[in-house]
Amino acid sequence: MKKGINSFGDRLLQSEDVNVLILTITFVAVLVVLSIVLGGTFLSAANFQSMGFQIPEFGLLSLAMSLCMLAGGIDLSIVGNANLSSVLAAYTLLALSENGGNPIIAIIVAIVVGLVVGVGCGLLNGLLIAKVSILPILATLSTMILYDGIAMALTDGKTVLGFPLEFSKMAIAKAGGIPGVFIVFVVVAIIISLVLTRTFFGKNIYLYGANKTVSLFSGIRVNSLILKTYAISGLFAGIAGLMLMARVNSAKVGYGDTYLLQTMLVSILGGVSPTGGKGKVLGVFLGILVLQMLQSGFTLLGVEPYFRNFIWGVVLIGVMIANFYIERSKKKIKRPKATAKEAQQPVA
Amino acid sequence: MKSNAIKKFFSKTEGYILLIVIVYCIIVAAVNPNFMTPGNFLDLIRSSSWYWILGFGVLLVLLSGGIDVSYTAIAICSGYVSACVIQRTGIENLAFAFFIAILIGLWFGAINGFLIHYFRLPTLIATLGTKTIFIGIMAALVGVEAINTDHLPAVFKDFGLAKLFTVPTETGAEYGLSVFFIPLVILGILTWFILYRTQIGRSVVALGNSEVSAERAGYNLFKTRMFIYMYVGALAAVAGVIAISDVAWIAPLSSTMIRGTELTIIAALIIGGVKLTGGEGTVFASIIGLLLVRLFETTLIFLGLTSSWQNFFTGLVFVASLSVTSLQRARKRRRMLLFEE
Amino acid sequence: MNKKKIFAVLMCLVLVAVFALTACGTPAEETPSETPAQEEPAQETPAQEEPAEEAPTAESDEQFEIVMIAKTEGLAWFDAMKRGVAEFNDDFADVNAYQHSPEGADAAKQAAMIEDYIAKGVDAICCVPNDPKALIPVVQKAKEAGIVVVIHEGEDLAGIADWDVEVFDNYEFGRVMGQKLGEAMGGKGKYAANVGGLTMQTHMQWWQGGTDYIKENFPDIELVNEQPYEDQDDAAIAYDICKEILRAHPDLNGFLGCTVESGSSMCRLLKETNNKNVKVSCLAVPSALGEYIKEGWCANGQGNSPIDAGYATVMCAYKVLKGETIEEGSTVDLGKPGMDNCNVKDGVIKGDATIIFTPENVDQYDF
Repeated sequence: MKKGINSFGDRLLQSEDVNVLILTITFVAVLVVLSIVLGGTFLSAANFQSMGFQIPEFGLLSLAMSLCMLAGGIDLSIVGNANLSSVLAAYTLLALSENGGNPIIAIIVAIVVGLVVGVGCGLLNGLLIAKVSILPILATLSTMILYDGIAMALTDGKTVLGFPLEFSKMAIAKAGGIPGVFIVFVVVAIIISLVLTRTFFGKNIYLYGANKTVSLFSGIRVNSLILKTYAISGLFAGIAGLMLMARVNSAKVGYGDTYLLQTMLVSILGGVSPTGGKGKVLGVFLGILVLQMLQSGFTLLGVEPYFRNFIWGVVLIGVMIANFYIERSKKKIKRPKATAKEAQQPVA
Repeated sequence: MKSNAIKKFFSKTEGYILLIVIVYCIIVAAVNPNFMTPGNFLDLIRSSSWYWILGFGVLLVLLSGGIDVSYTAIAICSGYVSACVIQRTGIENLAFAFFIAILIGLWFGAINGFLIHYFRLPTLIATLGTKTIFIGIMAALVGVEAINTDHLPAVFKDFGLAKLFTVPTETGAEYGLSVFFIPLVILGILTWFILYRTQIGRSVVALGNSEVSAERAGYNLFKTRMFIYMYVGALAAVAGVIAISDVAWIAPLSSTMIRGTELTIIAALIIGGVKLTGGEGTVFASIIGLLLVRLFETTLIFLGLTSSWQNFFTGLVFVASLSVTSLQRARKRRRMLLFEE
Repeated sequence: MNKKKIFAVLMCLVLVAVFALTACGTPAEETPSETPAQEEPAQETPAQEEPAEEAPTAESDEQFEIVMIAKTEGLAWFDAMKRGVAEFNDDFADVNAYQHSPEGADAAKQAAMIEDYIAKGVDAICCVPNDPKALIPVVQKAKEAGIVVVIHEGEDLAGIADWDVEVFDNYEFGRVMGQKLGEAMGGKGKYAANVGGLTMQTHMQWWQGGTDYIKENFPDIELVNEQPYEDQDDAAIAYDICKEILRAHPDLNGFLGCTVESGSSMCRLLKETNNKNVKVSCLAVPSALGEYIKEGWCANGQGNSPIDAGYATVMCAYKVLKGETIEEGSTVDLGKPGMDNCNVKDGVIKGDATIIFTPENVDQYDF
């Protein structure tokens, strides 16, 4: 955090800004390359708008994942949580609007229900991790299956639909050409960024992610910290679920199933350390933009999904290897005798 | 003396889970007497054999303190490549099929081991990446088109149908023990032997307990890691060939094996009593954990429930059994004043 | 140390050999397996293809870009459909038609993919929806952007998209499936039914048709499951479900499979256990069920050609782009057998391209 160290190079290597810098360069590079390859189709307002509609739900899920990773955990249940929230919100919306109820009130109540369910699911994750001391990866793996199972048992695998028109209008609402959902996403991202950098709660998340034992003995109320972290993650999942529900005008188990691995990828590309304690919202945000640009660009180029995944896999490994060398050179500057082996920490 | 041993067994996680398995079987049998037939159990062995084989490999990874999510992709890729090679060369030989598959499996495993050892990548992230890379390599080598039953080489189909013995039922149909049982038993014993009777097996457990002490104890960790991931690759390859023979067709990109099965198997092992952070776990634990999960996956129809309920019950049992084992462990740790993960 | 090196070199060599084998083997095998199969359909098609479009080259300076978005990548069915789209692309010089599919049969991803193509500004989007109703907003968006949208197998989108192309009347198709099953079962016994998913509209229509026919015409036949089992169009799940069905109902006599996966899984299980008591009537593709149809494990396999379906759907989009009017209540020619005289009603273009596969004809199809 401290500034004013001897040379620029050292500072660059020592600060986390290197990640943001790399991502910014990547962002510009991807933009330029895709613009050259695809020309007008890529640079058109329509394309950027289309990306603006697609980013938020996936972006929010990535933020949820990043937050848990910062706290040294992981949340595998986000997609299941999003689906469960949207299914319950959908039922509420239908029940309230069917019998001539005011659609606006119905929509508001449904949104509240969706958010409450999201937070509730997040809290259950937190409880399992904090109170029952299940490892995050395991706790959320089990709840992933559970939330999916609840939603599946409720819906029997059927699509829930027939919402009032006002609801799907929300999904396509625009303000000055910018999709409304994108604005919501940016606002949420800014808030969580401020929370992480400016509050004790945020700093404690970093501390806890960096070293659990130390934070336990430094007077942090670890259990409440975990509960809050996963509740926020659940809230994001809930918002994402509602957005998804509005965009496809229906709710169903299995929507967005393929998002899960991509959220992990974005978090890591965005500079969040999978072992916790390191990373910035700005980095994740840039990571999301890069990924979405590539995703849309690949679709326009007709690239098959498996090949796109292959490229992401290569990038992921590449970034991790680059991080490994950066870590090592950092260690050399700081403590010449330290071995690189300390970089290795147990997963999860 | 004897009752003491039994008591000791049931106080372990494996014991609990075995109890749950027995109770669950009794419930299912009470609801639907059709469940308790020898044919059913022979069939469960057959359809679960490749889960168990994959489980043996995952056991090694978990014991070493890692998580591998690429092994089902290795299974699909090596099995699919093997099927393609046989289809295109016309060498209809089962040993050749296994040979090709295991070769690919070893290579993919070696890539995992190398990345994880040299660049100190967290195993979950590394294998998450290599999973997509393996599928990409497969696509580049042989393509991704699904092979339906009619085009699948006969050697796979015959392997899937072969049985060690058959039992006729009164309706004229017959059930039998599939030949899948042979590789299952061999690999089970081999895994046990490696873990408990060889240097390399002990080094896997040592690595899982503490990397630093394992290195100080003089184990060559590069060798250990390469062994672990190549072993997983080879087992995955065997499982891949069996899985393809089982259903007699393969659609590599849309297979459920690469869409969630990998995590289910890991979860099942942990339910059985294998420790995610390494160092603890037995072959029996992986068998019993997977048995429970497979029972949940395959017996809901006997209880008169639609498939919609499957995940609900599986999730409920996951959460419950994890809670029980984790609380026990946490209490023990607190008593011993252990705070680090 | 030396041993290791030798081992490493050996492994490298063998691996290279394997890849060389696969690479060399590719062309050698494909020719014998596919040429005989192609002969038969070729006889049927030329008659329809030539009069299909009078002047494909007249406006060839303008290229129509048509994208077909299928349910998912990597299924044999859609691999075949891709060939149909490619065939259309080759037949018409003024068309750039191709198929591109999302991963994992995910409706949300499919919607996102359509959005990307709207942004790209293609001339027409053809789509086989995973969940027709989920695509309503995005299809509306495409229409607003002036893009021609033609749906295949998604009657819920009729009226919203330009057209919905159906290869046959789904309910009737199901009734045929039910009739054949009832006849094979000799008019008595118990049967189970399976669909890909309860949300898959066409599957549910087949299921409805099949069960209705049996209820009306075979009073002694009993359906064991009120709600059909679901296999998500996945071979592994279908296999497990079929196994469970056989276990839970050892006295089963018939099986109505609305997915190829369930039909072939059931046949395989019957063959495996040498069970001749269960008759199977199911949706079929020759590459999955040909063997079972010939050996008698599958009493009735019926279906349509995914190649022709893809071709006809793109053809429909092409006709709209060319400004040909397709009128309600009239008929239209989509250039493939069974699709040359389609009825147009309520936004749905309905052909009659049902193929009943028999041990004699099953070898002549190439999909």
